[in-house]
Amino acid sequence: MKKKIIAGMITAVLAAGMVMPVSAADTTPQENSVKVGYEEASTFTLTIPAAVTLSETEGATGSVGLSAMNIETTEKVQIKVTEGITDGKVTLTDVKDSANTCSSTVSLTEGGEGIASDAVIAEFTMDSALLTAPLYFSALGEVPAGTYSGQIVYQASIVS
Amino acid sequence: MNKTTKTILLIVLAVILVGGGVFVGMNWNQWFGKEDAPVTADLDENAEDYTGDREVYQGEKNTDTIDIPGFEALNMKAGTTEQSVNLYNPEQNTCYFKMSLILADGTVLWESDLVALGKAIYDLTLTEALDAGEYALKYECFAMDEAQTPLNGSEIKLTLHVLE
Repeated sequence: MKKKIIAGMITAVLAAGMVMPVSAADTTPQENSVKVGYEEASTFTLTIPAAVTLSETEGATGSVGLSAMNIETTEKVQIKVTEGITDGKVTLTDVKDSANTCSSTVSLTEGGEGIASDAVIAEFTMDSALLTAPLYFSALGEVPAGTYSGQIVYQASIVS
Repeated sequence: MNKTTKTILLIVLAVILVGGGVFVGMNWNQWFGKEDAPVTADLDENAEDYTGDREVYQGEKNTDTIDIPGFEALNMKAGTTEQSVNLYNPEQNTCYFKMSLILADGTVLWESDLVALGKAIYDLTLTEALDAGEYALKYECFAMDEAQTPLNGSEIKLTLHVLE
């Protein structure tokens, strides 16, 4: 009897020792939301001809366009001429005698009509395959001797 | 030794053996694991500490065209004429820039001196504090010769966000 009691007590002690207190993690799915955002500004790099050398007898070409563009898919970059072209022509003035001038018709197609003031001469989107637009300058015709120059100012803007 | 004592001793022994086995298993790699094999290739004597990319040859510069950085908008601070900007003349250009910020009516709010290629204006002072609206960032370009011959220029039509 005594042995049975001792055996029973030992068994009980062993059994109690084997019962490890366990703290189970709460496995109920928790949901928390965090707002994540980022804004990338639209930018581009406009490429214009530094200078176009014209000729008395032959036409000349230049081009405007974009060498880089990162704009929204709903936007486009528009290019216009804002200065230097009047009635479709660029006027060059003799640097030594402002009374001497000559002019060349600037068009979007060879031999075509001159560009209208404030008209869009090129437009590009992120889907555009080509990012350049040619400009055609007509021959000057006969010009008195001298060094002539004129400037064209191109305007670019992002529009929706 | 009676049967009960033997039983207890067996149980204790079993616990010791199991615990010992677990302890040895957890530390096996640390005690008997393989050491890293020594490097046998030679080190390159030309190697330096990496401190970022350096300039490398990009080919000859195109002198026929001018690259003009364009933006949809500029952010500026309300109520002050001192502003921080990022206006620059790209490194690939071969001309000087003269930049100006102009109102729709032609009023010049700020004008730079000649900015060489690869240089930037980060701080500027306006002639007056701004309202939000549409402005033009004008780029006048000049050849890098003695005469600083004017070249074709550009205007970027952008929106000014004036922030509090």
